[in-house]
Amino acid sequence: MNTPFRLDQHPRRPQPLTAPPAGYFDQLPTRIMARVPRPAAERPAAPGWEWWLALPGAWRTSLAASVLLMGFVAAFWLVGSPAAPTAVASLDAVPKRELVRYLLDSGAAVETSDLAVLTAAHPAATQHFLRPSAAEIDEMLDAQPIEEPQYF
Amino acid sequence: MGIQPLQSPAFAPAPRLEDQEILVKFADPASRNLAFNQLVRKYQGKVYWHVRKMVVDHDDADDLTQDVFIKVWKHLENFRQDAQLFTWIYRIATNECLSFLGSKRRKFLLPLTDVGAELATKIEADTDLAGDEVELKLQQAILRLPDKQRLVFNLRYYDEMPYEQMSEVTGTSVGALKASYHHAVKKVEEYVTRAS
Repeated sequence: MNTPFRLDQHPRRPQPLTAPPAGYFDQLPTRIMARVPRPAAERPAAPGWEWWLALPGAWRTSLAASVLLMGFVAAFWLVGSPAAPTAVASLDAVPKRELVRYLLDSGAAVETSDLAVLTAAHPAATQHFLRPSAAEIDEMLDAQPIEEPQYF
Repeated sequence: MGIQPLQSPAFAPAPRLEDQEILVKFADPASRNLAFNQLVRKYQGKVYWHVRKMVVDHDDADDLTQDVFIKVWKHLENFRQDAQLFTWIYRIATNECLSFLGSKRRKFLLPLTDVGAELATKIEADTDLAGDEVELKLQQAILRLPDKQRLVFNLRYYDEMPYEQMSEVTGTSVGALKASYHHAVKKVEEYVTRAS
């Protein structure tokens, strides 16, 4: 029969396993320090922006995205929308007499097709300067050559 | 029970003032790194061996020791000082070990005994135990204990930690710890006797 083993009679080895490699405990603090997050003190915020660093990361991301989006909307509102009224306004400032003279004197050949395209895009474009009677319209239509090839 | 509590100089609580000094320095951002470096140098050996005895493998112990101190860094500001600093660090180390062993078991779908057998195989390869058959059997017997009972055994037998401090580390009552240690000693003695 085996001699019963008694733990209290066995010489205790405080560290029963093989010791770690030489110099392990000298290097371990450096390796741990390399892994710790940088303290906030090393990343000072600009004065007045401490609240920004205090926010959680997800909040900061969503807030920054919202501000960027609002910036785009504001830019579109301030720059994009007023452009068209400004162009119309500048054209309105030119007297109609001058416009007619320019069109007649500059040699620009305004053809029927140009007018057709213009009225197709802006049906009300001629309402301000062409006020023909029904008889005048009939007369003009009768005078139109029906063979004009580009409409077939 | 054969093992009597020992008055161990190795596990006497570190001087309170020194820990307090580290905590004060850590609270100051200007001296935080220096204070933490001191803390690591002071407790790295105890933490490493505590972890190493649980996971056996040096590389695993190395990873876990680093993880323990990273957690200490993250939570030291919130340390309430109602426990001693080293007790608190040991609790973190203990939880890391138990989580590691538990995840290993879940990852490979291993039953309890297989993890113990795997660790026992690693023990056989340990060169420091070569030629010492009784010590090898003792280590194999310890590794066959359930994780928490092995933890209790290590804290008491190797680290000679008082039961009150063990209670703080493990969150278990002193009575339960005494019973667990008593049963662990019996199991170890029976295994070594049978295997010899």
